[in-house]
Amino acid sequence: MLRTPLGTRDYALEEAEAYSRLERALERTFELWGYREVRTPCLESLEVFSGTIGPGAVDRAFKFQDYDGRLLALRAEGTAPTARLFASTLINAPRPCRLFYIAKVFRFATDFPGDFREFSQAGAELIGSGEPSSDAEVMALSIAALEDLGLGGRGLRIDLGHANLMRELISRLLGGPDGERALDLLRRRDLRGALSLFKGRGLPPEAYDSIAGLLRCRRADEFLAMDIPIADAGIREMLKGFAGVIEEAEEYGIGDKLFLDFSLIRDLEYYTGAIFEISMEGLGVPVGGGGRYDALIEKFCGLRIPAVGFALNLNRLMEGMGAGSLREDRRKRVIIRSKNRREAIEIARELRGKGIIAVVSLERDDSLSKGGELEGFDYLIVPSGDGSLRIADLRSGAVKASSLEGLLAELGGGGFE
Amino acid sequence: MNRRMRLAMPSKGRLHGPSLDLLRRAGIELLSEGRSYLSETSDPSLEVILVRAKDVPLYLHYGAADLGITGYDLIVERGADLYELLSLPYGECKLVVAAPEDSDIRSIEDVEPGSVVATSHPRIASKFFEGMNKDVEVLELEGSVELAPRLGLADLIVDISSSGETLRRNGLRAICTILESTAKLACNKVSYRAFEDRVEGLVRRIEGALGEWAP
Repeated sequence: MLRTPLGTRDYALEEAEAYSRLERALERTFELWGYREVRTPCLESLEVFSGTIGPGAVDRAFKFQDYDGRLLALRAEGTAPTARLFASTLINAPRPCRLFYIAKVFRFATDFPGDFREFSQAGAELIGSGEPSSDAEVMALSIAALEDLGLGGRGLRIDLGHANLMRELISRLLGGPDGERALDLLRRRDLRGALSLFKGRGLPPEAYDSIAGLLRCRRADEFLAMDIPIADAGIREMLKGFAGVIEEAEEYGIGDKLFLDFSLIRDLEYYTGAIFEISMEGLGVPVGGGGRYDALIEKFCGLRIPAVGFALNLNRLMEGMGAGSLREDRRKRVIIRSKNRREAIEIARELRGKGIIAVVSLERDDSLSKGGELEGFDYLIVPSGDGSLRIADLRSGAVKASSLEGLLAELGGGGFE
Repeated sequence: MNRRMRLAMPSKGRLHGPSLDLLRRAGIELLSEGRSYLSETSDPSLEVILVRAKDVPLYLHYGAADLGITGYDLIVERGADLYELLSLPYGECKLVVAAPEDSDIRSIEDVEPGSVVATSHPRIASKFFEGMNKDVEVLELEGSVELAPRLGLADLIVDISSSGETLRRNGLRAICTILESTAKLACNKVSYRAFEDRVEGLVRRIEGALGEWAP
């Protein structure tokens, strides 16, 4: 037996269908928020990723040579290709431009069993606005998408940080190898270790208190009430923009789900402003994340166009939702047996027209007795030859005579809902 | 969230005793002593599972446990993305590159391309030699790594060493330290977010216990 390669898996029948329903549900939410679909190729030039997502993430990409020697990569994440697409084909489209994608991504290196090397992401990108309201919109959309999947009761939360704030603060206050060490400790949330590096450096106590206060601050109102005595204009600007994002998020009604985390670091390098991760109860890893990337599109077209977006990891989402938490496909499945094949084919055509799944038996047979081919169907229809139908309810075993109209009335048109 | 938090602890080995001792000093007793793998504790909001120290990062990575005590070297070896809340003052060791005392290998520069490196830390070892631009073959062993050169299985080893005694007894000499490790109290990222107040409360209790304790 041939297995699928490490980090990949098959999805069959119910699981594959649940996956499709998940994708359709997300697509629907994105569309209702005015986002429009883009599709980029699985194959990209390596440059799409090499100057944008950072060396660590490029290391984890599948890379190989094209026949002419050009370096290619499988889509390692969704934002850089979308930015490339925007820069090349939508650069003259009206802005802000709202785009979404649902696509497979591929990452080579992982030795955690269960971490996929191929998985799907659903992402939304809001391109062309640097306003805090756009950060808030994509965060609210990420929550809405999960709520529309019925996950509203699962303790959804957004942990919001900033790509550069801590880095800049630390480089101003510490710098050098101690600055790097402090960042590394913060990434691993060893707050005590990180703060100990600031002690005994002759820093003004208010600077130390600001760093410690920011790192411990979780709730928006605490942050907005904080007095941060830092004169540096660049840092004040970042803090002001960040406060704007929080205020706008409150307007969207997601304030209760918003937690601040200034030690948050995302592994993608293109982020320039607010960054966030989305988590839910019962899943040990974040289900998605995103942030602002104001300098990414510039790499593809030379024009500085601000943008912000997020992506959800669909494999993790499936895992977190558990089987069956998405509405089942409740359409009825009907199989038709007849010695008169044309009649059977005609009945099937009519049923399909009403949204009912209809299969014509491959045998010329009119028996009502069970057979392997009836597995997985709700009804067996056998025309009697006089215009009436014998209908067997395969779940209960009951058989009755009816007409096609009678059957349709009973099935209520089938339908997805 | 109101469920119990789950703490993964080493079930045996050098981290087992001090970890249990530390917990006891922090006022947390395991209620089902003995060989039970899942135990309630005197803190009704905390349960403990006993697993191999090496597997703790895996449990934490997936959120099968919320908190865990394990060695820093094992976290790095697993490549687990965790919060390392607290360094603990035991389980101190170095991960070193060691070569036979009677060989010509006195520094990393002397390592010939194609040399075989035995280790139970293959990920760290591969990364290290890659970073040094040394093309070596890494051979993964579960234990008794220090015997490999004598048995002709490897030219050198990457292994943990606390006093250097084991290396000496096996005719080996440390030529380079890759990383220094101690035990760590680590936490799943999502659990940390969900239980921050309780996690921080536990961290403070453990910190308090450390203040008066020298293992």
